[in-house]
Amino acid sequence: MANYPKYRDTDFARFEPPASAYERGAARKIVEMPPFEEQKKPQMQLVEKKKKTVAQARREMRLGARQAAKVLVIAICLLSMFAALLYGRLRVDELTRQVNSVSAKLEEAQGENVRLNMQLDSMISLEKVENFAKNDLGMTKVEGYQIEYIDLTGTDSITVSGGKSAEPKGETSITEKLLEYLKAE
Amino acid sequence: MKTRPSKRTATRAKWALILISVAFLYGIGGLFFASIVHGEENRLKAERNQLSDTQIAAQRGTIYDSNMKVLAKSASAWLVYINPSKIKDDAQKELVVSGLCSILGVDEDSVRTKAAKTKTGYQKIAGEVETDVKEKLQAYITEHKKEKLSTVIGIDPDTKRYYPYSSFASTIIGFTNADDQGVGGIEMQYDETLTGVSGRIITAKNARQGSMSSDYETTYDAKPGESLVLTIDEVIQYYLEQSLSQALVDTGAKYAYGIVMDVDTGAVLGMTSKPDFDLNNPRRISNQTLSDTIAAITDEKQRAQETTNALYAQWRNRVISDTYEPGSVFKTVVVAGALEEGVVDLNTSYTCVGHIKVGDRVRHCWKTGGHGHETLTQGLMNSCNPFFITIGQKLGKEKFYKYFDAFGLTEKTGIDLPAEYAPIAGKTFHSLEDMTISDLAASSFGQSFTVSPIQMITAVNTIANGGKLMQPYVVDSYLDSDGNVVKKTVPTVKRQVVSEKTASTVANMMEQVVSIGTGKNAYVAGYHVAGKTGTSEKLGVEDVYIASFAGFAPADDPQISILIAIDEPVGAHGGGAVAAPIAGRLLEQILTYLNVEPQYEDSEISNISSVAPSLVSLSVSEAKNTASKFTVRVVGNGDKVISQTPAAGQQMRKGGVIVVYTEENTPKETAVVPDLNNLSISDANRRAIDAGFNIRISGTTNSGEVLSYKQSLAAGTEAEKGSVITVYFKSNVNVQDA
Repeated sequence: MANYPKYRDTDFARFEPPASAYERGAARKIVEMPPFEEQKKPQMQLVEKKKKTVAQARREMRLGARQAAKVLVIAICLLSMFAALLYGRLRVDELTRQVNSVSAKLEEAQGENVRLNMQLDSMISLEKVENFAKNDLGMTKVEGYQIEYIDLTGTDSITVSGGKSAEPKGETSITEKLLEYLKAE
Repeated sequence: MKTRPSKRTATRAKWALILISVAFLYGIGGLFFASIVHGEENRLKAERNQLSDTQIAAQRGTIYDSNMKVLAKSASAWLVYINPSKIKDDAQKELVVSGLCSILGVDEDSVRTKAAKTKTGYQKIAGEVETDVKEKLQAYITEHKKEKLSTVIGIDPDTKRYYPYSSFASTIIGFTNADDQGVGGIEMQYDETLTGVSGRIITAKNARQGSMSSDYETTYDAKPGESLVLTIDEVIQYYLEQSLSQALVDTGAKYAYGIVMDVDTGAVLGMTSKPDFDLNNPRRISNQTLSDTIAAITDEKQRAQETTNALYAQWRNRVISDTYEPGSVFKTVVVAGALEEGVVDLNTSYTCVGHIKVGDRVRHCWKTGGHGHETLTQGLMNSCNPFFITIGQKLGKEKFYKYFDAFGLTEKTGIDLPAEYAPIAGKTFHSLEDMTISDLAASSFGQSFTVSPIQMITAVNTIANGGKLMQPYVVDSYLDSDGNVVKKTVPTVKRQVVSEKTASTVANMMEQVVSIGTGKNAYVAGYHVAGKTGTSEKLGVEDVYIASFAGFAPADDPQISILIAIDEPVGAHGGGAVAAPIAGRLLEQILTYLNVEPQYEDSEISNISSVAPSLVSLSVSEAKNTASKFTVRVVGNGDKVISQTPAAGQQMRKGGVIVVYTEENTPKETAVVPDLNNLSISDANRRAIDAGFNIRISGTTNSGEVLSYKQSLAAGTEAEKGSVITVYFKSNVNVQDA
């Protein structure tokens, strides 16, 4: 233990049991530790850096720039996508709000429509119409005698007005003959 | 190097272990209690914290009449409430109270009481507030922005049920309460169908109790209620209601009820029980006198009780919930059963001496001196009680009960309306086992038992349709929210009660009752009406009667059956004198509306009035020649007729007055309408002509003893000379039936 560099300055003697302890046979067995070897420090090697050519440097710069551009483009794309997503969500929320608002207005308008229709219906109830017709317009209800029935039991007949004859007068013109010919089945 | 912990360390470790174990056990125990013992409670708490659950009210279905006229419809409205805990001072409170009272028209004391409950956060002020009123309230709140009324007054969505025709068909339709649940009539019977299924929106809430985006939202759409198309025809219902409202005025009766039924299907075309109530304000007592009487009661409890009683009484559909002794109307059932069993035939005759002894009791005929010798048809026409007691005895109680039961008088009709009266054997009618000979005698002429009006009309309808007992109904079909028919009621024939031949025979006998018997006041010229009158004394009450008439028309091809009952009429109380004229007028209106063409017989044609000829544009002399059957009165000095009263085509009596005007802008001549009541046809005609008017006859005219009892233009009012006054005639001779 004493060989360890950390405890090199430590006085381990004070940890030793008293002599009486050894006498009683209760002494601890002291095992000798192998000697501590100091680690070798790694030795640095000086490597000479090769010098780049201008073309190489330019190529590397170009590559670097391209890489940076790629990263930038990807970043912009991601940012755009994120912005678009955010905007989309905003729009959806906005439109949902609008839809809800318009739906509420529609429902309100429908309710109002029903109310007004009911009001209208109540104003033109049979009772009110009858009272108005009777009292304000002096009308009476339609009665059976006002219905005129037409007798349709007879055979078909033609009545020619003003003493005109149903028979064609004189000779028919060529046009009329042609029309009759065309009408004929 | 391994070392043993010291004793002290071991003790400390032991304690630490115990503490950790206790804490662990405590944790486990807590979890057990939270998740198992109070699991449900905590789950709900968590849901309340994390979820927002909004109910979407389903739109209540619409109720239509058979012509698709809207009778009841729901629409969105508003509910106004206050948050009393937010009232900061008296000035703000005053503004809230005065604003709510003036805009909503609510009771001030009620609002003050609610506003005083400052420990509460919600007090409802008014529901079913319409949008225009809500806008006024919003304007008021905005106007008092500085006083921050918006923190106290709140407005929530609500729904309102509209009944456009107020009291029209009120006892059939019923109404809804504040929770939009049906309370009476169709609204109650079909509440589930009309209500639909409410929807829900469940949204996740964030830590600040705000709603999260729609991704965390689940919506269960509301399923709107189905609409109902009734069998009620608006026009027929209107005629029925008008007739019975007028009957209440004319007879001074307490109640009047009536039903019109489709003979073949049992569909109810009209049904009313007067007085009724305003559907838009069902909790207001419609009888003003009664309302005033109740308001005058000082004891608060008694007043509340009387108000409740009055409201239940006005909501009651007496046609299906009340019972009455049918009296002589029931004789149609007895004669149908007797004919079917072959106990009697048309040649059966009887000599009525005014009384008959049954067992040890003497039963009297309503005609003290007796009807003398009479045939079966005459017995029905005269409504002779001893004759029908004899028929009942011949039939015997078994067969009598068989037909009483077969005509549906021992059971509910099954009409699709709530609170139908349920007959009870031994209480409302005599059971077969308990029926004595005396009970049979009384029952044979329609007394000692009670039935509901709907039962009686269903029984009479059975005779009209050839013996089939139909189940009455008022809902014809169900419609979905797009107006498609999803269900249609199929008429139900319960049973064939009597043969078609028997039914036809009884129908012919009933036609004779209306033509020349006690029902002559229900006679309608041009139509064959069959019917039977009934008068019954109310059970347990002296000198209080119900006059009724049940019948159908046209008798040769029945289309509608009808029952009219006048409950507690003042003065005349016979079915023939009180109920039959109402039924006659009603039948005339309904048959005309249904386009049933009148077929006049020769004897009727002579009673039909003439028609005013067209005299306009004729010269004065030509007009006089054309209207030679009438008295032409010329007004003005012109040569040609410019206008005339009555107009061409108007019905009037021969010898009537036609006033012709020969100059433009000549003021119409007027006169005071004379009183034409209690006159014979000729006297009424003469008096009208003397005053410068014409008459048109309505009601029974086929007997010499008719007298006028009503006129279309009120006596004493000013009317244009030449106007036609419709005068209603009825007979008071031989129309008594009890």
